[in-house]
Amino acid sequence: MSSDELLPAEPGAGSGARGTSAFARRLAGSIAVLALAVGWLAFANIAQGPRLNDAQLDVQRTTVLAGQKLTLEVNQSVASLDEAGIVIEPEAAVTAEIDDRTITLTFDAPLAHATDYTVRVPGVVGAVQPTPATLEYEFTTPGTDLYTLIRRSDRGEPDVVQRKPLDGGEPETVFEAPRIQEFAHSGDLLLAVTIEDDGSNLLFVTDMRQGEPQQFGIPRGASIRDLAVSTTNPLAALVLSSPEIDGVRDFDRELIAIDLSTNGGMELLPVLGLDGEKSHVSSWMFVPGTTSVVVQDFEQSVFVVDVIAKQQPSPLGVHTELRGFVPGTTQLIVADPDRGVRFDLADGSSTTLELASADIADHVYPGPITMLDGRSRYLISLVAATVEGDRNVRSSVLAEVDDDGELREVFAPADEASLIREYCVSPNAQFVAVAQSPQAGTVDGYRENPGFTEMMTTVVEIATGRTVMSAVGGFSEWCSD
Amino acid sequence: MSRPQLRDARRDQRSPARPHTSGRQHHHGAIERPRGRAGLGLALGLGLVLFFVGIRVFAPEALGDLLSNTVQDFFTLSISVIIESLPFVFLGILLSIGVQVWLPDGFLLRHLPKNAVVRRVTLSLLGVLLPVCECGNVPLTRGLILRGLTVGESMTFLLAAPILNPVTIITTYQAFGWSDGILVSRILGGFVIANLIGWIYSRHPSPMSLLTPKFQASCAHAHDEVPASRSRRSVDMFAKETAAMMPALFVGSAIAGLIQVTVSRDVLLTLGQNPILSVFALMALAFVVAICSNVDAFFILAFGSTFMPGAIVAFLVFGPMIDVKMLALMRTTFTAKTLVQVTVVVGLASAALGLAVNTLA
Repeated sequence: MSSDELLPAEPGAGSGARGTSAFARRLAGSIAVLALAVGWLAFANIAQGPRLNDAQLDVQRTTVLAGQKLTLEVNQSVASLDEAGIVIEPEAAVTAEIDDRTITLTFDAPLAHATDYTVRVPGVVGAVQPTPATLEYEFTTPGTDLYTLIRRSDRGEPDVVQRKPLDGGEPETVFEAPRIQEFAHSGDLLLAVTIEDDGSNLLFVTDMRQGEPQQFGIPRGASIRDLAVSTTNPLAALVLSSPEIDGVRDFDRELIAIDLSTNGGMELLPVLGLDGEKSHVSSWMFVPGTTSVVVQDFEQSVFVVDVIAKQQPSPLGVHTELRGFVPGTTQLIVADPDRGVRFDLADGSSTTLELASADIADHVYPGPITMLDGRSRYLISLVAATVEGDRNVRSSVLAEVDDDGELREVFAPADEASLIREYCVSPNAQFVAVAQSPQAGTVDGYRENPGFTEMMTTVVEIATGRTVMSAVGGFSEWCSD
Repeated sequence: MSRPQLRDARRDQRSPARPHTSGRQHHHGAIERPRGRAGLGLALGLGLVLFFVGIRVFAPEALGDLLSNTVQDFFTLSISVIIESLPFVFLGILLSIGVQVWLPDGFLLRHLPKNAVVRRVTLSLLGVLLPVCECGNVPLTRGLILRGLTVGESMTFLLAAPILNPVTIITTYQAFGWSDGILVSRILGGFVIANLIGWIYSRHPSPMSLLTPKFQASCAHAHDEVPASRSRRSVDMFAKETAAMMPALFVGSAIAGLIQVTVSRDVLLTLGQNPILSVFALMALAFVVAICSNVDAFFILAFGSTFMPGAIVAFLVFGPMIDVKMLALMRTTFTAKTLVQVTVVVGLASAALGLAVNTLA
């Protein structure tokens, strides 16, 4: 008996020389085919250039902050790329850096809302594969809603906070109370300050996914002003004063931050002054993209302090007024009687603000200005006053002034009987929310954060002057950022 | 002649040739020696454990500072691989015992399809039921050959089972998820390559010539087993499997730690970014490291950001089929010529798969 009889052979397997030859052909053929495949695939690998493995971008932050980074992970070390040839559609300025396998594109300014962007990086040459390749990445930025406050208490109806998408859609009431002083929203949380019959304030926090407002614990009879939230971190802050009881006042115009994060448990974070003691706060605002606030006390001392890290405040000197930040940046604008100053809180530098003056007629009076970028482009509201017959006629317009002082109208009320009462720029400087009301309108009688009756807010795209949407009410959330 | 007839004929021919008397004497003699060795091994093991516990308890904290950073890194990296691997190795052993000891004799063979291709496909998926490391599959494969599988079929099982089993698939998923198609490429690659080998060797006219003379001789003693309860056999098998696995695991972990602390990261990076060299570099690493397929995904995860996905796929496909440890184990069954042929085919196929993934991923 041969040893092979011990083991079964496959059906179809030959025997003897013929079988051996067939097996050898099958084995050699398989090896040859595999070797050819390895050679061809190796050539294909060499012939193709670097490829994009992965990309990372926080699209939520791209619309509220400048300096956001798109990280392109390439499948090998990058030797060079054609930086001048980088194309972003729609146009956006970027700077590129190479670090081994990573190409980082930093956007100079915040991006537009609800926009499909395409990024093309040409001439990418790998350290291993010399064939230049073009990397392409697409992303879409999120849309946004506009929140407005509609005061109707003069008509005996409750005040409401409404939310309306910028791309159309029906307004939705997200909070209602007999009298609402101010509000702010962070993610799904809406914070609203209401006014009691005795004039004191209550603070409500509403999770808009569930809808039931919860009263936030503040001292009985306290008053609140300047409520605002961070556009990038789950933080809110307000200036709190409590009534004097037995000669003791627990809070006296103190800035209190609230940690809105899930882990924060709505913790109250008192913000102390330069001397480490409680300070009386005149005005304040969040530094975009950080957990810091810039504070001006009643002695007009301005300082920056991180409400989470509890570090020593950084003084910025004494200044007359906080004007705000260049949208999406950490460039703070302050005003003094003799000049304006731009502080870059990222590096601590400061420069005198030099703005090109617009050529306006004698009967036109300039209103507040808002910086639009890090150069000298700004928005300004103008009111023209003329005498027609025996009556004064007023009209208002919102205009953009460019680096050369050229004036361009952005918005004017369609109804000449209306006046621009307030305007606020979106965090990415793409839109401006203009609050207008009839010239004949009266003040609404709210002691803190007063407004006008019959207010209407119009959102306008600054670059084109296109009206994006209109909503009833005023006090756009962009005014409290 | 049909296959069942061949198997029956073989059994008939083999039965009278079984040297029961000598075989049993051999086994009876062998029973005493393992017990003696087991006692010695147990004592040594306990001694080592006590020794290390003693070091941990009585040595001053500062003693660790005497070791250089490189040595500390070596121990940390090696031990981390062992800690990651152990649960899965033991799980594999327990499942293997369940299938080998507790399933009725011949159960699997009776239920295999008759068609050769479908039969190989079924065998390549049998790892789902026999989820053990590749080193555990070698003795199992020998047993399957003895019970009537052809060499081609047994090779298909041997090469596929370490990859196409739930433990390996789950650990690969845990390590890489669905990223870069690594998991899918590993599963499909293992399946195709194992069936390719089975298809090639199904044509061999003289399958017995693929086996070593020693294994042919051992066939005669295949059924000389000491009567024992299933529980006893389970315990014995656990001891045997553990004894086979642990040295391989410890050596593999030590080599893994050694490579990570001695091989310059720049060298790895340079190799890892080359779409061609990275594939062959990780195949070479898989060959040397010889780490169990149940845990190799965790091992190579450390290189995940350094090497291209195709190289990782080549590592995860080639390693479970061919490595130093597997060749040593397979040499107990197959001739050197057969192993060279299998290694060349598996190597080329794994390289082609890795390069294809690098081209497409």
